[in-house]
Amino acid sequence: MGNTLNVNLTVCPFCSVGCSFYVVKNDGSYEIIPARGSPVNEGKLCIKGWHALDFVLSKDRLLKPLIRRGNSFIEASWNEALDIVANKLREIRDKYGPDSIGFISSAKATNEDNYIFQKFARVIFGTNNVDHCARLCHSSTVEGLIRAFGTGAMTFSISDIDNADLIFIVGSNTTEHHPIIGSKIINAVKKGANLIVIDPKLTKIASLATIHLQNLPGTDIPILNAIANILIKENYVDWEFINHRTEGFDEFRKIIEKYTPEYASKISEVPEKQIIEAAELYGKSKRTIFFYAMGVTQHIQGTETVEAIANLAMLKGNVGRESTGVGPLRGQNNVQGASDMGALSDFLPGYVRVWDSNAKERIEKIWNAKIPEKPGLTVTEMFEAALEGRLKAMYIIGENPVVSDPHPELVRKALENLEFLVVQDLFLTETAKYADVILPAKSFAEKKGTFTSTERRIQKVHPVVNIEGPLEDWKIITLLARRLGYDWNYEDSDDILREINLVVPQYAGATPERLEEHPFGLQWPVTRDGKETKILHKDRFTRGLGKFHAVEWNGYVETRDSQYPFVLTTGGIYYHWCSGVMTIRSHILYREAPEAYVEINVEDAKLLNIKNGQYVKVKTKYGEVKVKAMISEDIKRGVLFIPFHYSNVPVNELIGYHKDPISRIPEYKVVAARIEVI
Amino acid sequence: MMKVYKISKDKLKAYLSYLLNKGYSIYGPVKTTSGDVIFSKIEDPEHFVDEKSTNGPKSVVFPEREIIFRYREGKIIEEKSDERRILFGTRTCEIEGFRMLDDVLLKGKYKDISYERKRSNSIIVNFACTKACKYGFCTTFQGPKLKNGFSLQFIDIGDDYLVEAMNEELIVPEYFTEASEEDIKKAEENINNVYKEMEQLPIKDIEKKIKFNDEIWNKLGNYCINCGACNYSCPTCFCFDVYDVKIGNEILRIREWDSCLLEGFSRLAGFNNPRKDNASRLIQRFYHKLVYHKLNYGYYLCTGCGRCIEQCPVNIDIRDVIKYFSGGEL
Repeated sequence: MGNTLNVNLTVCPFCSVGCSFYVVKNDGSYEIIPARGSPVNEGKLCIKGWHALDFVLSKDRLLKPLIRRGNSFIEASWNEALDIVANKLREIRDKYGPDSIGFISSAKATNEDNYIFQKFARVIFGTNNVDHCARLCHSSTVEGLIRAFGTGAMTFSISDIDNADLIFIVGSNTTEHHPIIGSKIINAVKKGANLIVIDPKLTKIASLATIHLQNLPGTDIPILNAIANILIKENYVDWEFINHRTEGFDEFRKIIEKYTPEYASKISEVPEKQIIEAAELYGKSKRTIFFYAMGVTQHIQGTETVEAIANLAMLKGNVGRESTGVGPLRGQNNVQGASDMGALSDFLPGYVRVWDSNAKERIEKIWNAKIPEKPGLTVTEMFEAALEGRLKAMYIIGENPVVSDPHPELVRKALENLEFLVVQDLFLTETAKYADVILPAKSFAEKKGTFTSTERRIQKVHPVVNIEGPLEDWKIITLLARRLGYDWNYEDSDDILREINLVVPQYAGATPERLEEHPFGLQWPVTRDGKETKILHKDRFTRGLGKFHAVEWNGYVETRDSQYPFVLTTGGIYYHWCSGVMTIRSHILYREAPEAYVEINVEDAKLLNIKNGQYVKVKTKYGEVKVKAMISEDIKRGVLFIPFHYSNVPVNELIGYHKDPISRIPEYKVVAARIEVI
Repeated sequence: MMKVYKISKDKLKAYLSYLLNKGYSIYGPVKTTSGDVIFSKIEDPEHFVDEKSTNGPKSVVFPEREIIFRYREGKIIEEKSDERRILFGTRTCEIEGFRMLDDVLLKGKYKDISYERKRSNSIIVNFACTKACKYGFCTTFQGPKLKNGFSLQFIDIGDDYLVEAMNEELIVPEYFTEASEEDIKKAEENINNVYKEMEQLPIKDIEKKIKFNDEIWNKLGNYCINCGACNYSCPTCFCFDVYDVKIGNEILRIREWDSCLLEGFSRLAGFNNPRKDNASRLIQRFYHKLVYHKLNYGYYLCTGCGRCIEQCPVNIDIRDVIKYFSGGEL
């Protein structure tokens, strides 16, 4: 963009759709204008997008570094604060060893920020203890899709929605969490596309569905397997695709035989007839797109549910063609990018496994450092280690685990247990209150860099607002690296992107210059000569052959009984974002949804004599919260729903300790609960 | 009395430079390197383009969010706006919107002083459209050319613009020459082209034909995702919310654009809401545009700019609503 223009282009900081907008500064006020030229949002935005600067301009922004003095904080200069952080981290590493420090990166930060931070952990501290919130939302996608296809990302492009004849959604409240993708699905349905939705709630998108399978939370696998079973029995499958492009089919076929519609219906409480109808609708469709989100991933069998969706897509050759494919709807605006950059305890940039010594040699050469082979601690494991005293220090960027992680009460104890905690954030969050040093970071709106959307679109952002005081995350890390004796000379985020171009093959051609020429981004993999990729796995899968996984439903880890007769499930709502830090600071967004609630089916409420708006207690084996009841016809009987945005109703204290053994994602979506009138 | 001049297109940027040198702040449509046209402050005349912008000029006189006043040590401190502004290259649908905002915000019993501050020092140089735009339907209302409410109005006549001047404030002999009868005729023809290219909607008596109880509202309500774009992009929407923010020992009273498609817009104490669902909120929006304002002010609260259509993620289209209640299909 020309510097003299009073208007600059950036990308929305909320969900992962990657909508572009301009910001204009007029005589002291800012205006957001959706970018017509963007192939993603085509001149449209959702309510959060229209309010994306509210938190940026909030009076609560941290402007100066803060240092703990007893129970309060005092302001400090950058030099002072950075000296303390560098010295203290060095001291702890020297005393307790490299793995005594944990680094949590941020899916809200740019690719450049994430790349530098994981390099900081791995090269300067010699640990793989670096992770980020993908662990809590889509680590099961990364694992599941890498196992099935070879690449842990959406296989198609958002624009493919237009020409699909069936859109198959599992566990995604699309119009609330990825509203612009949701709107494109609505428009496709208006034009005649069919829509299947599997969801325990009658969401807006479910209300527009051709078939809505309203199941119990955590019972997607039996339904998906039953549909696969019918497809094979009725010969709806694409044999040529199965024979030439895939492996593992026979074993898969054997396993799913027992998943009859009757069996799936018994587990999921979805009528048998509907499962058969859904299978027939899918069977007869020519171009099907699958979308899924945290309703699939945040389960003890998250990875396997992702694999079950991949199975279903491969059965009919719905991968690698236009208007077909499997689309994980990632959570944060840059969770795809943060994962690509290797801000994960078991992956280096570009999804090189930390233990794959052949593959990582290339990166070690560029970094001129040896990288440990042992996978690091994940986000949740870091807190466990801190509780046990194994982890002595943490450095957290742009995350608020005291609200967003399972068992906040343990997270708080873990943070108290640390010898040293650095939090780098925009605000004095619930987590920052535990810090020894707080470093004020620039928001998306104040910096240059790149974000990668859920459709693998790498887009450049430009500063649109100027706030004096905070620094870019990468800049802070670079300044620390220099204090620790490393000659890191990055002057600009472009310098880092150039290194990323070398290290991450998928980003090879996404150079700073090319991204200026393509203001609405390029989709990875981008070849060295600048060719982007709209659709993955076209002629061959990244891993060679697509792999069918014989996935079984393992049954509930938490069984409902007379004491806990409900399934409690958690999720987000349209007007808020994650732990609420960004959206409660917007007057309009906060006004729209000022308080938490527990959604309960009208019949259940009647039986328990619960009235709308009445305070109730929701209890599980792990904890309890007091919350207002919201009586609804949209939620399935026997299911309760509480949004996770509100720190005064810490619903994450209610969930269990179970984790998906493959991706180590916590089970956020299923816990046995009861509800009591107060 | 209106006078008519013309200016060569070659001289337009020089004229803009002249105005900038005179100390005016110029706001107008600029083209970004990514190809979008945005209404913003212009520092360099080279950035100006004679195109309809995505946002239009409303936020210059009625910002998305603004401080109305500050309260400090027992005193109210009013905000000031000293800028001498020219809004250069506005479109008729946008400035017709200003006229409607003026009626509501300035001509009632109480004046909106925040609006007046910014409105009163904004000189309008309008560019009448000579081509139909994709979503616009201005010919159903005022048409592509203003009758009044501007200082200058430019009309494309090929190599030159015909310039209608309501006053001589911005007329500089160096740039403007006399217009011939032929030029005036050419301008009329070009304006008439828009009438030919654009579909005229059956707007007559729509306030009598539209129905409160109709399936259309539920149908559209099922699609609406409450983004607020129809309000935020509208040149005639004027609803706002007011709140206070305390910073140190100062309290700021702030107002911010609101949207009648949001649940909180008409929520009452105790979370009661007379407009609980999307259908009833859509009724409110369309009734305000097509019925209530007509009853109160004598005209429809719409200028046919088409922005609410263009920016709606689910293609809710006011043209379809008008046609539907005039006997068409949806």
